[in-house]
Amino acid sequence: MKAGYWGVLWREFSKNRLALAGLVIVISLILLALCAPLIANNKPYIYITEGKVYLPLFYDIITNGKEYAELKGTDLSKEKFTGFKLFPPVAYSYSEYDLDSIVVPPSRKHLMGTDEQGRDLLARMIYGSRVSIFIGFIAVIIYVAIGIIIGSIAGYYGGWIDMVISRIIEVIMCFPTFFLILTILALWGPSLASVMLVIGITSWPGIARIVRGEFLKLREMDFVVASQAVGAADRWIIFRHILPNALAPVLVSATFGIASTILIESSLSFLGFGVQPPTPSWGDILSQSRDFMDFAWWLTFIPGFAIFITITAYNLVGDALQDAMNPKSLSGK
Amino acid sequence: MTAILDVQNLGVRFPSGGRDILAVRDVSFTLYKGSTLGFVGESGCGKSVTAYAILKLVPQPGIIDSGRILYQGRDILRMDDDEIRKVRGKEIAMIFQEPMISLNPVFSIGYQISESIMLHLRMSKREAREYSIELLKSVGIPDPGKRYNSYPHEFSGGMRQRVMIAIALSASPSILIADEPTTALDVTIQAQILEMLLKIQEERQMSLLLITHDLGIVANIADEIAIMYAGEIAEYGRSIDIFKKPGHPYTRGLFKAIPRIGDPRSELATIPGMVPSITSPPTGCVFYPRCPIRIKKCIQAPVPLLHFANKRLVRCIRYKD
Repeated sequence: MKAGYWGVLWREFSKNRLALAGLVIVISLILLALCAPLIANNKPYIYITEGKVYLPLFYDIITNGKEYAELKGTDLSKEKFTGFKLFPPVAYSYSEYDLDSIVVPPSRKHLMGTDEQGRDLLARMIYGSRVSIFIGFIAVIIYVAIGIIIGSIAGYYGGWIDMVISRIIEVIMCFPTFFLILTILALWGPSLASVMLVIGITSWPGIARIVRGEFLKLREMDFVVASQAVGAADRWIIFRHILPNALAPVLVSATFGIASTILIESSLSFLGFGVQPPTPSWGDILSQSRDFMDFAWWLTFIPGFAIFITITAYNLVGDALQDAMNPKSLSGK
Repeated sequence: MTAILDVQNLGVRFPSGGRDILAVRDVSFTLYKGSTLGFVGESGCGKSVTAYAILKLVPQPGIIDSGRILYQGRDILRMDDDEIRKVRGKEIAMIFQEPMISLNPVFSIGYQISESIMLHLRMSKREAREYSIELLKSVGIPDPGKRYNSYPHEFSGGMRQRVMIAIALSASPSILIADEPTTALDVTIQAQILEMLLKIQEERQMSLLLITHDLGIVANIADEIAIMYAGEIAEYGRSIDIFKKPGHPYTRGLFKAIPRIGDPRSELATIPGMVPSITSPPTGCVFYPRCPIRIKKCIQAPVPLLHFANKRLVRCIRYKD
């Protein structure tokens, strides 16, 4: 059969049902986050009135927040029905407040209930997933990139370069990361970008260590010497020959990394150091719910559960990847 | 015959704690155009390190601390990284002992051949592909067009070694260094691979430096032989001369240790003792502790390579006796 390393990996991975379920959740969440404005929006997709067709939602997205001039002042909300309207599945925006329905429990109108300002919780959860997933991915990409570069230099060249880098890694690993992040955020001021950047530049030592170890092992392999013997340059050997062989464990670690980054972001938001309102994030929604915990269970339970499910899904995927990469679990060639 | 590679007084040492391991000491030899030089010796005698040194690829933490390696008049040891990279693969190519780990498991073999082609020859991707398939065919891979996209794990050891040879030949080097190319293969495959190497060598007028511990192989192939022992050349000369009358007692011991079909002796002859540690070579002959013909004079002064007729060199003061 024709299968490279990644093909074999996928075959092993897909044998694990639970992990496939995790992967489906992860992919759905990513799609949900990407399509958030199309799923939760208080503007209709199509609005037909007096023989004219309007596409308010798409117009809003394309023009970045403008309205049709001739529709100014028209109430487009669901209840005021004039003409034909087709709304997204969740017909509320994350910031639209309705003071008539404050803290209402889940109902047919608001599937996940509303918060203390009458905002639809489902819409806020959908938009909140954007922050969590965006931060998860970007921060992990940042630190995986840093980790790979530093780790591969240490592992490939060895000697005193490795000595110096390894000591730096150890020093950074000694810092309690969460408090380091809190300190830096206190200095920079909390924002989406600074949260991503701070997580990115403080979390690389783990990856660097993994990559270094893999490189130490792989650079002794004959194919590395063989490619030196055909005259390949160091950079080519590092990135083209060794790195693809070292990527597998990095991928596992990155998957777990996304989970823990989402958790860090939630914790930061909970403490008020994360993304600032009105942009919703799961941690922020959870933190707001504290005052209503006695009677509004949905405000606490739903974001908490979403965080739990997301983290679990990523961890399942990571776990199964790790198993799939373990040569002992490979069933034949 | 014109010399293409001239190694003079090569020395390689491996720092290890306070004491250095002198892996290669004062090794000199000449490789002629189109001819084959066999390097024979047991594990750890420095033959592979010598080969790696020619490409400046001595494994860490080894240091080449003396000598000159002249390739067509240019000293390889004085080349900078860019210059040596242009020699590697293009002028001097190398194949390795373990074909199982000499290919990168994550790339198809076609990609790996094209890679070295595109590195040295100015070819487009398409031309490189066609040329790779041609090379695969010339090293005896059946159905090369299909196998181009196969991965190393789909090949047997012998097939992988053929692929390695195809990679080595890709830029038409003038010297091929083969570091125990058939050691990891079984006997029938060994013969096929060697035959193919010889055929290619003849077609391309390539020089071959064959490193092996198998005297049987060099007997059939090599024009000249260098016998190495504990980091030094013990004997060096034309292979017919050496096989006819081995000069060094170590060489004689090696010949006696070759099993022969129909030999009534039940036990193989061995050379008593162990290879000495090469952290601190003795003042005199390194073979002294194991030598059947030693005399006191052997350890009193270092034994140089002594010249004899037909460019024969033997590191033994009792050769004439």
